[in-house]
Amino acid sequence: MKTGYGYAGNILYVNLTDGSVRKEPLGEDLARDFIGGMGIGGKLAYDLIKPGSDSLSPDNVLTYGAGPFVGTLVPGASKVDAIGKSPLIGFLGVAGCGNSIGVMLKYAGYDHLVITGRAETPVYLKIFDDEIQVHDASHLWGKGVWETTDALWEELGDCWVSCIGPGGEALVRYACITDNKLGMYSRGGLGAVMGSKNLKAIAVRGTKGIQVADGRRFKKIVDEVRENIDKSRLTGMWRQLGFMMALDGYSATGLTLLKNFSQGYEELPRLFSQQEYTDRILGSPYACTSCPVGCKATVNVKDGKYAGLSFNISSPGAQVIWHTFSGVENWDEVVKCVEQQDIYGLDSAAVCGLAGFAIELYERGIITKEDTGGLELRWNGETLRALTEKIVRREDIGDILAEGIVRACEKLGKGSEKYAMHVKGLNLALDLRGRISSTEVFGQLTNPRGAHMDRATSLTFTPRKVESIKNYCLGIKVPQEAIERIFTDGPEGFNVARLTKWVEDYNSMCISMGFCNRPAIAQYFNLEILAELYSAATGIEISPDELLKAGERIFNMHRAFNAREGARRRDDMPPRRTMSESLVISGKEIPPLSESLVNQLLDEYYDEREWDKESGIATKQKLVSLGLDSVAEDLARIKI
Amino acid sequence: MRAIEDVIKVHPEKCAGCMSCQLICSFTFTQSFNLLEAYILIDVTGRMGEKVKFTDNCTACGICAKYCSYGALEVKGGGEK
Repeated sequence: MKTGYGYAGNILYVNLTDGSVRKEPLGEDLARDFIGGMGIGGKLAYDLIKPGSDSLSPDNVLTYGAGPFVGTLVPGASKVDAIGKSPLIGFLGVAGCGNSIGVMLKYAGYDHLVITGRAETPVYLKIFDDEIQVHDASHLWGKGVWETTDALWEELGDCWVSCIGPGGEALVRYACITDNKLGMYSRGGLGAVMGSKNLKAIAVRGTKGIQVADGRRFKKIVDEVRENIDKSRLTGMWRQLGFMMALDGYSATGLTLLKNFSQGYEELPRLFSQQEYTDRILGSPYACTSCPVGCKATVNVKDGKYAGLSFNISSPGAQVIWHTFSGVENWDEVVKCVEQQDIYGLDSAAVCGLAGFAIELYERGIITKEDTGGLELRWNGETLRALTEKIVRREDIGDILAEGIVRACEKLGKGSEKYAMHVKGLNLALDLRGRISSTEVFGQLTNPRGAHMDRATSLTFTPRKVESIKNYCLGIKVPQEAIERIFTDGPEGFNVARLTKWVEDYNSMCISMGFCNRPAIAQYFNLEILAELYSAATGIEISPDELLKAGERIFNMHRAFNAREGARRRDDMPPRRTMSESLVISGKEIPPLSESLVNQLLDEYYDEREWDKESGIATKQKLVSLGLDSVAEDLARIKI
Repeated sequence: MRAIEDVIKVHPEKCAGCMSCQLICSFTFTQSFNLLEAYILIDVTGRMGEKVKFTDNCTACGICAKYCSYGALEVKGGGEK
């Protein structure tokens, strides 16, 4: 492969146990088959992490992967994935980050960074081009994310910093990794993996840059996409409101619920109004590297109890959704809670989910003041912050909650699992009862990383006309015979299970390229454009069909990692509460999901994927057709 | 050669920190995307004093402004594309 075009051309391996460093070339076959970023990262994790390894032991491997678009002018091309075995779910931990150090990693000459082993004492890793050094970090240990980042900027000058906070140090199983004080590898607890390796931070500076194979062809496509983004009326709305702009739709259809997913939340648009957000909370839009949309924000609380509180929030709208899980009462309290979570380096969705779970157990008498160290648990920001403090200090109930939802239920017993809202151990992001007909919602069941919507992002967050969905399918080149299967049934005119398969393949490929797959960016691309752009960037000619197949290969590889760790069909099932309790939203009752419907959807999903329906695992024929022969052999050996 | 002040008016308060200006600048002058080689520098760390700075090598071509989606770099007299 001609290096330096799209790809930097190297994988950097750092062993923290003995401090050794080696560089290996990134082969064209690997690039073609797994694209980059999350795709190659999944392949590396499958090859390097022994099945059954303890995720918090030196045997786990942490990788950072920057796809072929990262560091270029492709809109939103700073999306990088960290991958390892998740200490939270015990399966593949995959977490994406915009505004990532991956840009500098590419410029330093590396597409992937693979960290193995464990340092004896706290260290940070310095990667300045070819200068790779492991340094003492005892002066940084114990410091929050922002302070650590500032200290390294002061110490090392111009560089990009990825680090953990006290959450990762305390091995909180949903600690995140934070880049440049803003981008977060949030879900799945890879911050705890970093903590277990005694790795406080990574500082990167790259001076080599990245070229593209055909500059004229590349720039023409990029210019067209950027122009379309710039002239769209939706871009301004995304910039001003981010996910805030859709909250009323989400709450009306039951995607966002209050208090550990126990109540409908039709009041959400009033209590967290767009007007209040823009008048009192929003300071200015903030963007990831190369993003013309800027859906992140610098908040600046104008008045009230926390007047003057100002920092960068990666997604204020999503934060409202997460904080309703624990009943946080207003914008001021949400911002104050996020500040604490960001400094400690914790996944907000998980903290809020765990806190909501604990508050409900307290109300139901399953836990008492004896468990909480005398703390009264209430549905408010003050309680959330007090619990967060206990989680990071691993005090009282906090020590149990720090272990994540599944382990917490095991420790607490007393029927607590009835209130545990998760898939595969990852706290639910969106409720499933209101609109299982959305790929984003249904995809929380099948996502290898657990209950998150990132792999199944299409355009069905809110109900759409069937024609729009058909056009989307044409854009991602769903084959005609599959289209005939998809548009046959379903409450919204399509079969969500079958559609999700294709959406997941497409997104797996997009994310691996290294650009943002949020709708504000992704809607301006399609498979043809991406194939053209990939070829222009890398000099590797690839067809749209090959790209979509790469996405399918990537997804199957991630699920194969999970299967090897024991994941089966049962792990794709929704939380019990969503199948036993109804919801009331604006006076309308939404019934619980019927188990037979869920099973029917999973059957159809596995059928569309050509997987074994009983186990939820890819068949040998499917894996061989994707060129994953050795994976097929591995899976043939496991007991189903 | 024109001075950059004649070509571009900077509104630092509008800058969202996307660095697209740096990316296009480096690509135009070095044929490589390289933030550190650009003639315009965006400081998202708050350490540089000024959020938007031009280096001595800046030719005042104005292409950076054409790739600013946030109105932080306003073309005064029209630039070269």
